[in-house]
Amino acid sequence: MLLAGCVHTNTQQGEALSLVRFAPPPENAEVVHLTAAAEGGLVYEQGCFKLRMRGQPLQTIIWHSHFSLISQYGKPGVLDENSGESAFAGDDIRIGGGVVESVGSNVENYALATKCGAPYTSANTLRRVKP
Amino acid sequence: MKRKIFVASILALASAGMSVTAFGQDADPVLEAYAAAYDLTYEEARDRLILMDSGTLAELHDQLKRDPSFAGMRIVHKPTLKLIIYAKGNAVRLATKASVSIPVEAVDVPRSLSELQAAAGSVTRSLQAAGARFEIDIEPGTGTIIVYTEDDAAAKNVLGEDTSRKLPFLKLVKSAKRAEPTATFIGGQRVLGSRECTSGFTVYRTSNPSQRGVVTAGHCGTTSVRVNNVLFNQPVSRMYSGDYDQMWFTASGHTWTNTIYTGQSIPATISIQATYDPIVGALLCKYGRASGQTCGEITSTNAGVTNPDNGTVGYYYRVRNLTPNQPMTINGDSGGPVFGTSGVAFGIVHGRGSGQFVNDMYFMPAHRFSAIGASVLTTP
Repeated sequence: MLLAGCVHTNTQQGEALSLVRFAPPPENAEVVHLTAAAEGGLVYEQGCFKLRMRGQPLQTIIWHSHFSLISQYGKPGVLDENSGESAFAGDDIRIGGGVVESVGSNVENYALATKCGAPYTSANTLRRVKP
Repeated sequence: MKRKIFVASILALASAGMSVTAFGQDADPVLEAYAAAYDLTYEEARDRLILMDSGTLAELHDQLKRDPSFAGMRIVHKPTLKLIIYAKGNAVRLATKASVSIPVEAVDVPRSLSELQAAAGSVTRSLQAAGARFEIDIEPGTGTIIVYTEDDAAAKNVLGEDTSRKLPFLKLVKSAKRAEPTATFIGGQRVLGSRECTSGFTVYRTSNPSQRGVVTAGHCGTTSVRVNNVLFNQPVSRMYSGDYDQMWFTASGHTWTNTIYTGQSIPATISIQATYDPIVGALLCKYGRASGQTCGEITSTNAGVTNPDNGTVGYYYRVRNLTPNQPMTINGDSGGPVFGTSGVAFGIVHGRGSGQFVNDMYFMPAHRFSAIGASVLTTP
């Protein structure tokens, strides 16, 4: 476990938070994780995690289902439950995945995803580049 | 990276009291170019490079850019060497954080980098939506955004009076029709768009073999990308669903080769001679900008994989790394060439596996390029 003891999961007091995630793939399905990279600053605004890349508009990140929402001293972040890697708003991160042209039934919280807005990009792995 | 290593080696030699030139380092191309460009002696150029340690400056940049007032920093070589730090407000405060070996000058500017980037992003989205061809520069030293466009009147019209009022620091500059520099394309070059990927093979339009271009994975972007630092505005054709993950770009005036990078020093490149559809058990290698060359064995040519990103299932070729417990592909490799012996093109990188296949790679076979009207170039 790479997280400090002061990290909390799921909610912040007084504000219900959720993560824009893909629905889990069917059990026992062979799943591909796309390997296009993206690197930039992790931004959190109005309930949405976005990626600020040099020369690109802000992109809403849609996380794979093995990511969960965490917070630390009130700062929202995400945890990759497969690797134990975490990152918080303001961190520089590198993610694996690909462009996501549209959201639909494959996204758990479709309403939030559409509110966050296009363009979308996916994250199946997470690495914090600079704390 | 090369310069950083070289500088580090100079520092090590200097600290050991050794003569650098005695070790035959005179041939370093960066030092020679720097000395020539700024009319310096070789020794002056060497000493300056030691002072401008790129690692230290990168760390400083990372540190300063977290400050909301930070606007930018740059090295000035003439008339004297110095580092300029731009900030909105008290630039001196940021400059005191700079623990570097060259003189530092603090310059107050009217806008922070984040303010300029936000404005530039807004302008970019408007112009892109209108299909305009342009380049945009942020000038932190003057706090301005400059848009270079072939049709400044049209750009002004797209942005409207409202933008001009809100962004008085936005300048539209009419530029001559941009001629992209002639470039030489080799499979395995960096692809930069909204994601970072690797180019696959040189391809040609099947219905018009004189039209050549480059293929990469469809999930690497939807519109413009830079390949080998050349901007391509739109893919000729793109498919990203089910069995397909591909797109190709073309432009005239470049040199298109039927070669790919191998990831080895010798041979650094190979010529693609043919395209075959491989079978289970076939040995192959892939080249990606992130992980270089890795080699493996095909374990399935009919692996039905779920892609959570677009909610589709497609059939791809699965490859197990010949080196146990090592990933066959990592982030940044997508689109890269998958090839066999004797210069045979097999396909392009799609992604990696999960669960029991976590170190495996999936690739899309090259014969599917026909669905986007492209064929692999197998002649010079």
